[in-house]
Amino acid sequence: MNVLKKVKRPMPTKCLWCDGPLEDGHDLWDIFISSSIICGNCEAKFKVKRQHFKIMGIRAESFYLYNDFFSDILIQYKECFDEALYPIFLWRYNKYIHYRYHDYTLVPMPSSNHKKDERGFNHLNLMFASCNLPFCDCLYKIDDVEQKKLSALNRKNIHLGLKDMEIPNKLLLVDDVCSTQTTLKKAIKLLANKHRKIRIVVVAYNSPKKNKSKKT
Amino acid sequence: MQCPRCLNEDDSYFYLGSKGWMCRKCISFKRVLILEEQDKPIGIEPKDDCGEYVLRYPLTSLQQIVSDQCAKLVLENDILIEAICGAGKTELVFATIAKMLKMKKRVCFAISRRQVVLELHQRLANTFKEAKVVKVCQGFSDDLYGDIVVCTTHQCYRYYQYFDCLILDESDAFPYKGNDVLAGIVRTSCKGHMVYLTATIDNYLKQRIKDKSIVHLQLNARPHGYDLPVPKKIIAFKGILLGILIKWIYEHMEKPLIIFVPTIQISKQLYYFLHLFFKCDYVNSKSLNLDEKINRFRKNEYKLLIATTILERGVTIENVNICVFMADHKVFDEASLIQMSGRVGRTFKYPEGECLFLCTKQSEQVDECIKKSQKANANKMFVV
Repeated sequence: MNVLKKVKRPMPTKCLWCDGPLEDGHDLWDIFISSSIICGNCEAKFKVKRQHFKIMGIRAESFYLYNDFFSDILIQYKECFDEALYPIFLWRYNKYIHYRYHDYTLVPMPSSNHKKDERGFNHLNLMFASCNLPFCDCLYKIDDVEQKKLSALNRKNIHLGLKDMEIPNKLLLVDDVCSTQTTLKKAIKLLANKHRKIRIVVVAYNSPKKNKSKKT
Repeated sequence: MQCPRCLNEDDSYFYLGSKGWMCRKCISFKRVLILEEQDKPIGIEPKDDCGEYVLRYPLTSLQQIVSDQCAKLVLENDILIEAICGAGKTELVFATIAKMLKMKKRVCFAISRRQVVLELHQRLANTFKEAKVVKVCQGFSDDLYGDIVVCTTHQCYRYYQYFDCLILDESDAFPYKGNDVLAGIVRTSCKGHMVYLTATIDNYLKQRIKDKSIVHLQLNARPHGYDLPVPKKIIAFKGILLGILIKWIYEHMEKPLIIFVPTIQISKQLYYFLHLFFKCDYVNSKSLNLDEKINRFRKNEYKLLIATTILERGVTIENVNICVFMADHKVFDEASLIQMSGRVGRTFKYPEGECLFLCTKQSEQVDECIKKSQKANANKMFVV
C-alpha cells in the first residue's frame, strides 16, 4: 500500500485540450471562482451526469457519460500517452471523492504490463492522485492482454489475479470507463469477503443500451 | 528545445512527463520524447529497374521543360511547381520519380485528402508498372513500405527521416493548409528534398521564393492548349441572384452543371428550391452516399448538382460548367475559388466551359481569382 505523492506542476495557462485561452466560454463566475484547467467551450462538451448504480450489489457511482468527446480525450491520454491530461478528468470531483471516501483505499483496475511499461505511468493512479487517498495496487492481469483488443464476449475471459499483500478492509475500486462491468465484477469476486466494505467509482459510464444501438 | 517530429519550438507545448520531455503539439500522433533518439523505420530496399514508366499521353513542350527542370534540380533543391488546375501537375513529376527510383531512392507522394490518395495510387501503379506502389491512409495501413509510398500527410508520422524525395500535392488544401504540425511531420519524414505541387501558393512558399531557398517553376497552360476559363462576376441582391441562377441553369441545361455553395445549410435550402424546377441533387460533407451521388451525376442521371467545397478538388467531370453561388462568402478564399473554377474544361474532349461567380457584394478574393486567371492566360510559363 502506498500513498501516491500529489503531483505538483505549474497551473496551465491555456486549455489543456484545445490550447485555446482558458477564459474562452467561461462566464464571470467561472473565471473568478473555478480553478479550471480547460476552457469553457471544452468543458461544455463533457456530458456531466452523476449516476448511482449497483454492480453485484455493490454501490457504484460515475460522473460523466461516455461520449465521443470523452472518448477522444481518453484515447489521447491512454493510447498517445499524453500524461499532461491527467487532471482533466476529475478536477471537479477530487475533493468530493477525498471527503466522501476519506477512510477508503483506492484499488485501481489493472492495465496490461506491456502497456504500463510503454506508457511509463499508471493512468488510473495519476488520474486519481489528486484525491489524496492511499492506493493499493493489489490486482494484476493474468493474461496480460490489452482489453481494447477484445470483444465484449471475450472480455469475460479476462483473468485478474490478487497479489500476496496486506489488503485494507475499506476499498474503493476505481476505473476510467464502465462499459461491460466485466473487470469490476472480477475484481469484486476476488476482493469481497464478509469483513470488507467495497465501493466503486468510475469516471464515465458507458450505457450498455447505447453500445447495443451502436453495434446494430 | 525542438520537437524532432513536428519541429515545434514553442516552450508552452513541452511537458515533462514520467519518461522525459515530450511535445504536446503533435501528441495526437503518439508521444515523442524530445531528448531521445527517434526510431527510424527500416523499410525495404528500393528495387532495381523499377524506374520505367508509361505515360497515357505525351507531354506538351511546356510540360516537358518543367518536368525536365524538376528532375534535374531536385537532388540539390526544394522545388515548387505552381501550375493552374488541370495543367497535369502529377505528370510533371513522373520524370523526377523515375530518376529517384533509378538511383534507388525512396519516394513519397503525400496528399491532404484520403480520396485523392486512393485515386493517385491507382494512377501511379498503372504508370510505374515495375515498382511497388503502396497506399497508406485510413483503412490501408498494413503494408507501409514500397518503392513509391502514396499517403495522406497525416501518415507521414510513420516515416521519420525515411524518404529521399517527398512530393507534396495540394499543399493549399485542408487539413494541411495552415497546420504547423502536419507541415513539421511532412518535413521531418523527408531527409532529402521536397517538391511542392500547388495551384495557389501560401505565405510560407511566398517567403521561400523571396528568400530564394526554393526553385520556383510555374506552368499556366493546360495540356490541350486552351486558355483557363476566366470566371464572370455578377453582383446583385440575393433574391435577384436566385433569378439569375435559374436563368443561367436554363441556358446551360444541355451540359452538366455544378453549383457551389458556401455552407451545408445553403446546399439543402437551394436544393429544396431548385428541385421544384429541375432534376437535381446535392452533396456535402454530411452526405452518406457521396460517391454514389457523384457517380450518378457522372452518368448524366441528372444534370444539376449542388455542392459545398467538398467537390472543389480532385474531381474531374467532363464538359462541366460551374456556378459559385454567394462567391463573396467568407468560406471561399482565393484558393478555393481558383480550384472551383478550375473544374471547367479539364479534358481534351471538352477543353472549354463557363464559370460564373454570383456575389452579393464586392469581394477581394473574387477579384483576385479573376485577375489570377487572366494573368495565367497571359503568361504561360515561368522558371526561376
